[in-house]
Amino acid sequence: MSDQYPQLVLPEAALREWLGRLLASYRLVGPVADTEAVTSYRPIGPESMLRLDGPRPTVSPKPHLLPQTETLFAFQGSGPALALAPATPDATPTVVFGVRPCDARALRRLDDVFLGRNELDIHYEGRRRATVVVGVACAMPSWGCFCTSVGGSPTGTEGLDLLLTDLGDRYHVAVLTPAGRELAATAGMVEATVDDAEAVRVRHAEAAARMPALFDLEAAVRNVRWEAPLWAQVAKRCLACGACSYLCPTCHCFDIQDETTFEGGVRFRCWDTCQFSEFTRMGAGHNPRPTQTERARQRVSHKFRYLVDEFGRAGCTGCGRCVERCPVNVDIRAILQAFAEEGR
Amino acid sequence: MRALEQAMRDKARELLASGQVRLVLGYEAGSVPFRTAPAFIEAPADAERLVWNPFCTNNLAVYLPAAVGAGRVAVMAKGCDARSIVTLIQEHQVPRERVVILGVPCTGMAETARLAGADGSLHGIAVTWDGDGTLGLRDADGERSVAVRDVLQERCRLCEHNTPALTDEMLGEAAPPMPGAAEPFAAVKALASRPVEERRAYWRAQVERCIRCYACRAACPACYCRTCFMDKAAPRWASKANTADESWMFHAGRAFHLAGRCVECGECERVCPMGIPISALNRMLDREVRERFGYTAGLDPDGVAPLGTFRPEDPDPAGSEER
Repeated sequence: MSDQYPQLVLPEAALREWLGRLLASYRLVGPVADTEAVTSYRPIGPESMLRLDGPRPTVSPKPHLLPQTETLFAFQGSGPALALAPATPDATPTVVFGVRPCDARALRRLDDVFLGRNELDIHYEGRRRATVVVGVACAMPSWGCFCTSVGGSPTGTEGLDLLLTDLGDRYHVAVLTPAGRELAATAGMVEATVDDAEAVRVRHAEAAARMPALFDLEAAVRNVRWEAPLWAQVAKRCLACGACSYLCPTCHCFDIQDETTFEGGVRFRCWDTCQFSEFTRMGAGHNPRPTQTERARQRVSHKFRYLVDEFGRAGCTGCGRCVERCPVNVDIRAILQAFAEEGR
Repeated sequence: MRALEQAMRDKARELLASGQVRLVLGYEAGSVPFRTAPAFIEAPADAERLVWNPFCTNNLAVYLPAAVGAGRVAVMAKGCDARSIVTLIQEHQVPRERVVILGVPCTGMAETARLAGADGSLHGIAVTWDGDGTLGLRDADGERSVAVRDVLQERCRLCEHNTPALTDEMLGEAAPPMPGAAEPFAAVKALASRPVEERRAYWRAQVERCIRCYACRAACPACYCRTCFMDKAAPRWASKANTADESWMFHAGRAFHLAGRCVECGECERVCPMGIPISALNRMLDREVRERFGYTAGLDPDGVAPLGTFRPEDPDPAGSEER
């Protein structure tokens, strides 16, 4: 982490008070336990128990920026009497707290798409501009993690306004943006000492040491190609569920549907995935991606070819959720490794 | 149990080399030491890839309806896989002569999350298996050993048919009964005894988490509908909007479709990323079917499925006869 940012310290005991103060001005979203084994980002209150340590949460904060289901507009009547009522973008000031560096980077990848040079999505923009992202450095990787293989770091700052690092009895706080500074100012934090800075350096080095890179990303990106025999091998095993895409912090494809009554209805968008056969099935029945082979190719190529071509960055931050939650052990790390090692 | 792995490889090689089958479905090493992956063995030489250990967790029957289209297939079938195959044969999804059931006596699969050390992570863990009942683990906490029976997946602990009910050939001796087999319904009985409002709230909270990834449906060998009612566009039974009501409709609808057909392999629950206790719904209905019809799914390919059968003398509480 660069030393160019202001570095502060927050006593562990003062964290709850700070969160309480934030709650007065912001909607606060943080990682809480849904069950023993499942952790998600949920709106939190003064009494919520946050899960800031341990491996990263089961679900990323993506649903708070790109909800699974979102109304675009409502309509009433028909013909000349048709009335449209666009949904107002939600711009409630929000703090997403306890975001892991992989998930914060993933928000930047969503920004590429929804705030990108091609289109500006007003619904995403409304939420995104009203959101401050407070990160927490990852001390303990989960078994599918591979952030360092795709250019990230367990202590990376991309996409974050603040980065907290747990130092036991206190948090080190790196102030990364003006929005982060404003947030930190509400907490009564003190300047970090030289010892604090050194303690953080050690923690970050330890975290990085636990995460050696597994493959050469550039080589993998270079070799991912249309005719690879690997797609059919993956497809054989793949059950065509959406667990990988729906848990992915960067997957962002959606469907648009109408829900109607006699009088009117709403048009909404909802998550969809290239892994479902219906995703590309046309009204008349033709499907340009007729088998799981084309669908397997699509998910990997979208992340590691098309998004790279479009934005210069891969659409994967190595959170490893797809790796861990695949019912049949399709491991994208092994796929990328195979491509990276081709022609060596 | 090492002998079992060898028997799997030998049998696969023999069946492929003699042309008796075109494909053998089994398990191969996964990307980490506590997972295996479904293996599709087509060449005799590839039989060496087959493995057997307490991580052979997938129900391979899910691949059969598509796989048998291209020829005869042999399957390494644990008790649950075999019951699923019976159901598929019974329901005319898999012709009996197209499948060679290689029975695998199963002593249960390990719940991987329970292998994690004090830090709660499986990152970097090394796992060895002694070929019998013990796993050796090595991670940041040091070395330790764990008895498989102490870290069993719940579905395996409750399994009543860990020795396959229908096989063409058994690859090994029958396995001893699983520890919870005598009382498979204890947990659902307790759940069912709670007041209806409490149960409604419980299930509401569970399905609210559903992200509609349909991993449960995809992993289920009995969910083979070409178009699921949830995906049907005309008529549209359910909305693609993810609300708790729609998710409840999905989970309840799926449970009803599986009544008298579910073999409690528990794959739906294992693959659910959101930890929804899906199996409890299925087990609840299984209990009903067993009590009311005296029928247990997946044991007899010639059995008559109670909810897939019409008899004129069936009781008709809806009273349509009098209309």
